[in-house]
Amino acid sequence: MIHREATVENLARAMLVVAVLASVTMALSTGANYLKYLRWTSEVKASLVSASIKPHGTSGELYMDIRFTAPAVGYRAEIQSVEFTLKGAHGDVGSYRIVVPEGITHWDEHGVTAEMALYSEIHKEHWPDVRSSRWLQVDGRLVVRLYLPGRVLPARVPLTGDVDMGGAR
Amino acid sequence: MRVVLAFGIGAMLCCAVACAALSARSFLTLPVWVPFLPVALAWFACGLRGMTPERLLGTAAISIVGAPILAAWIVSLPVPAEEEWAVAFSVIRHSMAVVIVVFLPLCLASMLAGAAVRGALEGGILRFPRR
Repeated sequence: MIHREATVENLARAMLVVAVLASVTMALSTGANYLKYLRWTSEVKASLVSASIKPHGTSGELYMDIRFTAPAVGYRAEIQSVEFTLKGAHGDVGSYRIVVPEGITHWDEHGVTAEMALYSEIHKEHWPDVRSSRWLQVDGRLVVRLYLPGRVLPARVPLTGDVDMGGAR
Repeated sequence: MRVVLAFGIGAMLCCAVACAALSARSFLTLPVWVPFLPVALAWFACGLRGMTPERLLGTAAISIVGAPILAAWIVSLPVPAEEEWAVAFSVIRHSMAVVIVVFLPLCLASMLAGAAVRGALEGGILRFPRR
């Protein structure tokens, strides 16, 4: 009877040890993915290489060259769109969203840096303000689709920079 | 008392990892039900160990109360300091919901199953294989 009781207690202890070891293994595997994601979010950045305004008919067009850099942690990233507000001397001069079509993003061989050239028409009602503004700034974010092991996560990377107004005048 | 603490802390660790894994399930490479298995096994072990009902409830209380706090600490540990509290509160809120809806019934069922198996072994209904 005593022997049987000791066996049951040992079995219970062994089960607890197995459960704790299984949990620690799971924590390590999930934690590694989580740490990769945190590294990605802390090191990812988007920069406006150049931006310029050119008149086009009764309105104008904004041309932008964007560089996107993300650490190679093993997750695939896909640039989906650029959302931004143009800020000028008269305040906000329109909000824009450019959907990035497939094939226009040029990735380097390591899949770390991507470059793309985009353009957007300036809203007609904002064109006079844009044209007369002394300075113009892009304030927005790059929407990136990040492929994590469990799901696809939209990430927003800040994007700011000055617009060259030389061509608008 | 030492047994209650040892089994309570062991089960709390398993429950906290499961809560953290469910909060960060985007990073989980396994099916979502897998984190429940070690927790159920730990509570089954508590029931199998053989304790008075009060001590068994004490073990359950340690694991159930401590798990969301430990899960919040685990998830917010590598996060930058400015986001640490926001992440911790989000994990605590999520973990408390999971604990109330899923882990509390699972805890009682697993402990009762463990105690039932122990009772069956003691009563001779179940036997260990002879060597």
